[in-house]
Amino acid sequence: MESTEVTRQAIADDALRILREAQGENIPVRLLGGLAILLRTPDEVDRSLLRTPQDIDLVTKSGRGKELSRLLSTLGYEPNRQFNAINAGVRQLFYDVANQRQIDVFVGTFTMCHRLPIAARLEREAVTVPLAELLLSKLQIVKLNEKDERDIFALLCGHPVGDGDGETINADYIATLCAEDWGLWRTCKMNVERARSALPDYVPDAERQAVMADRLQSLWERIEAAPKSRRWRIRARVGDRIRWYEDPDEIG
Amino acid sequence: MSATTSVQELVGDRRIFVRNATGLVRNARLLDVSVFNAAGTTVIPYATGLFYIFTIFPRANLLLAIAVGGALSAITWGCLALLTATMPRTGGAYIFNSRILSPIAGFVADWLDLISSVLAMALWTTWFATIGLSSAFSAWGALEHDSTISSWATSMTAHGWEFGLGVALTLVMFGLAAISLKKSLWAQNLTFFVSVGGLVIAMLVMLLTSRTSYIAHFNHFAQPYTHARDSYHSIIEQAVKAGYVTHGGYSMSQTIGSLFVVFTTSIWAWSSMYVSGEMRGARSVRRQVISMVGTGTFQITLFFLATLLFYRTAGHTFFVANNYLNTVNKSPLPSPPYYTLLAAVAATSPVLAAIILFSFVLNIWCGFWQLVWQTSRQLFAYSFDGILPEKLAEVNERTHQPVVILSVLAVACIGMTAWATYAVNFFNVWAYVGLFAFVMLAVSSLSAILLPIRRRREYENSPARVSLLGVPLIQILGVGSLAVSVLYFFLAFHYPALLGTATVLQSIVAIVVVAVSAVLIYSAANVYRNRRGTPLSYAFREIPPE
Repeated sequence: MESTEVTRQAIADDALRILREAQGENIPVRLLGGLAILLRTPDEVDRSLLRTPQDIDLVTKSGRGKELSRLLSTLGYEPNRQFNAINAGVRQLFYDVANQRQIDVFVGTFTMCHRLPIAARLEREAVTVPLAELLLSKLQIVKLNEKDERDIFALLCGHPVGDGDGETINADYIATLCAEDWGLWRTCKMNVERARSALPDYVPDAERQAVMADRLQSLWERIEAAPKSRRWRIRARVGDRIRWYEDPDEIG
Repeated sequence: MSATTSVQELVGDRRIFVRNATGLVRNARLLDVSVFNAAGTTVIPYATGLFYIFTIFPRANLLLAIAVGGALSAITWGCLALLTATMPRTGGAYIFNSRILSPIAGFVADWLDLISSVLAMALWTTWFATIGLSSAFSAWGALEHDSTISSWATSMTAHGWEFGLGVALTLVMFGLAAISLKKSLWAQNLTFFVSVGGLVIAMLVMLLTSRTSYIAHFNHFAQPYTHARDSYHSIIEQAVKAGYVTHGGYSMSQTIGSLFVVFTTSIWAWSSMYVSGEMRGARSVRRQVISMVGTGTFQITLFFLATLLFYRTAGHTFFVANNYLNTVNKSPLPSPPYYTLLAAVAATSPVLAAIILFSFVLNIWCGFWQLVWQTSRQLFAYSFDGILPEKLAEVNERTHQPVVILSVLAVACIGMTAWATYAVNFFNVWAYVGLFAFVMLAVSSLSAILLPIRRRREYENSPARVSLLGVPLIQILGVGSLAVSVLYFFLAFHYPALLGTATVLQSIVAIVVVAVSAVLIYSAANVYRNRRGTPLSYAFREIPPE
């Protein structure tokens, strides 16, 4: 258990060093993914819900990828030159060879099963993207794995669902994005249902289970209540007959 | 988001899906790469290339040649589909061959293919004025008996127009490629579907027209040009006078000889191997087979059915006679007898005729684009390995496109267009386009045969690890594909007329000269890299990461 904590601390130290250096260079960068969730999870959350991240996921604004790439190279991370060239301006991959870690950089948008404007509210929080974006980055995954489910529960266990950001998951923001994009709404619906049924497997404590079920319910009610765009309504008529998500290739 | 080391099992009654690594949505969909593979071969080469057979082999059974040529090409498509699924990287054959055989063999073979593609670019740019716009306007002017429109067609064959339109096409094409791959793919799909749609409409017109009605339509159209009351039979008589033999039935040797032209027009459904680093799900054998074998089969089936319909309605002898007269420059018609003209003659509506004639021109765009995307990725891969300067592979962060490579290619293309327009000897090199590419195909076939032996680990991890009677399928297809390449060279050298104005000796010398230029480039790069302490061999130790 101690070594897990040491590993978590080491990866967090690395990530925070990147953020400090980026701040020094005036490059807007925030954390995303498992490490960001770990750092945002309050101490009182059951440690069994936490996982040890293997990689560092970063987000920067569109047009700032080159500067961040230069910084990461200066800090000693090995770039995947071919991948970075082909995906310049959108994605970058770097390797921390000594620690066998991967640095995955999203530039401007987050495009996986769905496209999220991940950098739109980048500077709202100091270290990570806002909690709403962290949760959405997990809820948008169609082929959810165990670690993704654990991340969703860690977020929901540690933070209430409500208005605004900070330590609250901004349900209005999630609802607004889902109201624009039927596909995103559909995948979120699927994952909220999955999360509801998986809750007893991850959170045995009945009281905690009830709190998290309430949060899921509250989030879903806000999503359902948001007025839907015309594009959303037209796509909704087609439904599941046409695939509503992208199937990302595995890299790394 | 991050790597998973263990496979997750079912949890309760819910399936937990597993992702092994970070995801990436690549730009090119299966539809995009499938269209890409057929973009340059489905419409214009059908109209202009395939019927060239009748000049050399007037007794060839074209339908049989298309069917057999398609079946043989499918072996090459299948072989390259399996190789691509094993190593889906930007650079395609260059990556397989340099990693499986040897760096220099991979580079030399691919350089030949690159030069072949750059030469072919000039064909497409000059075709824009000559085969594209000029033939459409001349056919339209002839159908409407409008001398003004016909005069536009004549103007466009002037060198100034030919070069000017070629340069304009080059600038717009490369400009769009530098701005956005997605927009370029959108334009590719649009121009492909419109031009193939035109061919399908032409086929429907032929299907719905009887032979008697067709002859009446044709005689009405052609009378002002042939000055004969029965122009239909007059065309056949003129072809016979020019050397076309209508009797004696089909000749098997001529049919086998004509496989060369079928290969030359149709075997290119593998171009997507060069862009597989940008293709979604490129490690899927199914997707690679669909994009290569599926696309190739679609194209061959379309050729077969279209030819069958033109034979049925216009008549085999008339159809062959028309193409024969055109290729020996003795056609009395004011416009080349491409399928567009022959179908537009029978179209009862001028709108339908216009769609058939002008949709054809759009095929120039997607055919040219096929070469642009492919060659830019070949140069990209050489640059990443250090054979060409790294500066070439610089990607514009805003457009995400290799603008330096695209600029270099655009300049080369304009130079080639000038050569093709103003120099009489350009069409000597036309024959080399196929020959150079087939060297690469032969070398790639060898790579397929040797993959399980020389790159055992990659083969063991490949989704293409399928065996037939204990023999790896990729090796079986590799042997078959090598045989297809050998057959191609045998036919080229056995029937020198197939090389057009070039001779066998010139062709061999051309291959050697280009191969030697590749060796020189490779050696110079090697010396340069050694001096800088980063030998080229470092790059070839491993397959580049996806």
